[in-house]
Amino acid sequence: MGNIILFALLAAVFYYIFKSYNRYTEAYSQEAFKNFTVSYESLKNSELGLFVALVAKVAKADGHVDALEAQLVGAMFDDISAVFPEPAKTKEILKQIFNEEKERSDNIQQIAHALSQALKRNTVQQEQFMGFLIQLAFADGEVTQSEEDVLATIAEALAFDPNKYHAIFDRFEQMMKNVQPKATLEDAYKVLGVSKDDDMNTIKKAYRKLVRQYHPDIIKSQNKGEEYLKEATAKTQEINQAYEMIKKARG
Amino acid sequence: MSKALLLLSFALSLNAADMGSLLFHGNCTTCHYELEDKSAPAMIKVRQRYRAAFGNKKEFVKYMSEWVSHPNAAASIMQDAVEKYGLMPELAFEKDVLQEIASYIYETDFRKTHEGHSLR
Repeated sequence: MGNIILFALLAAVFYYIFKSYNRYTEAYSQEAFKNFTVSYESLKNSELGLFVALVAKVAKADGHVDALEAQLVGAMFDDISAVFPEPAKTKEILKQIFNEEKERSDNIQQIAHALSQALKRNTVQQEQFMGFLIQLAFADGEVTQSEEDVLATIAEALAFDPNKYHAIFDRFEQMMKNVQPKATLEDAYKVLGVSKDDDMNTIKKAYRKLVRQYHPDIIKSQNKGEEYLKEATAKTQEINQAYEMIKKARG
Repeated sequence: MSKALLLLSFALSLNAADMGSLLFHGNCTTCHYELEDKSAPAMIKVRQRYRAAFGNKKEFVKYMSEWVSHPNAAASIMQDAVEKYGLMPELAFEKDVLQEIASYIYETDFRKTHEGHSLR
C-alpha cells in the first residue's frame, strides 16, 4: 500500500515537472496562445508586441528602413502572427504597432522595461530577443552610431549583462567580416539557384523565397541555441549579397 | 500542381504588399504625411497628381520611381509643390525599391484603412 502511494506521489511530481517544462519550451506555440484574445491592447502589452515595438526602433534608428530590413520584418510578422488564433488580424495589428513605434524614440526605455517585466527576468529569452535586435542592426551591413545607441539603451533597460552584449555584438561583427569578400558573379547565381539568362523578375522572386526560407525566425529559435541565429543570419547575408551583386552587375 | 502554384504566387504577392507598406511607412512618411501637408506635400496629393498625369499603373510606377531617383525641378509634375517646399532631395534608394514603393502608392487609398493602419 505504501508503495502505491509513493508511486502515485512520484508520478504526480514527474507530471508536474513535465508540465512546467512544456510550458517553458512552448512559450511561443499555437498551443500556448490558443486562449489569447487578439486585440490591439492585448498584443501591444504582450512580450511579442513589445518586441515588435523594439524592432521598429532598431529598424528606423538609422533614419530609414531598407529593403532587406523590410524583408526580415515582413517575415517576422508572419512568423509571430502564425502562432496566434487570428493570424491575419494579428498581422495587421503588429504592422500598426511597428508603424506607430518607429516614429518615436522617447519611449525606448519604457518599452524595454515592460518587456523585461513580461519576461520575468528569463535570461534565455532576453538573450534571444537581444540577439535578434543586434542581428537586425547588422542587416544593412554596418551598425551606425544611432543604431548602436538604440541597442545600448535597450540593453541597459533590460539590465542585460554588458559582457554578454559585447560578446554577441563582436560575434556578429566577426561574422560580417567573413561574409563580405570572395564570391564571383557565378557563385551569386548559384546561391540564388538561378541562371544568368533568367530575367530580373525571376531572380527577385528566387531571392525573396530564399530570404523567407532562411531568415532567422524568432518563433523557431526559442528552443535553439545561439548557433541557430548565427547560421540563419549568415545565410540571409549570403543570399542578400548574391542578390546585390547580380543587381549591380546588371546595372 | 497548378493549385499549389497559385497558392505560392498568392503568398508571394502578399509578401510584396508587406514590402511596399513597410518601405513606404519606413521612409516616405518622414516628410510626406499621408493626409496633410507638412515639410512636403501630403501623399494623397502626390498620388492624385500622378494618377491624373499617368493613365495606368505601369506609367505611374515608371515616372514616379524615375523622378524620385533623380529629382529634377524642370521635370516635376508638381511645380507648385517644388516652389513651396523646395526640390525633394536625392535619396540613394535603389530602383527596385522605388518601384516597389510607387506601386504601393498607386494601389493604396490613404483615406481608407490600409496596410499598417488597421482600425483599433
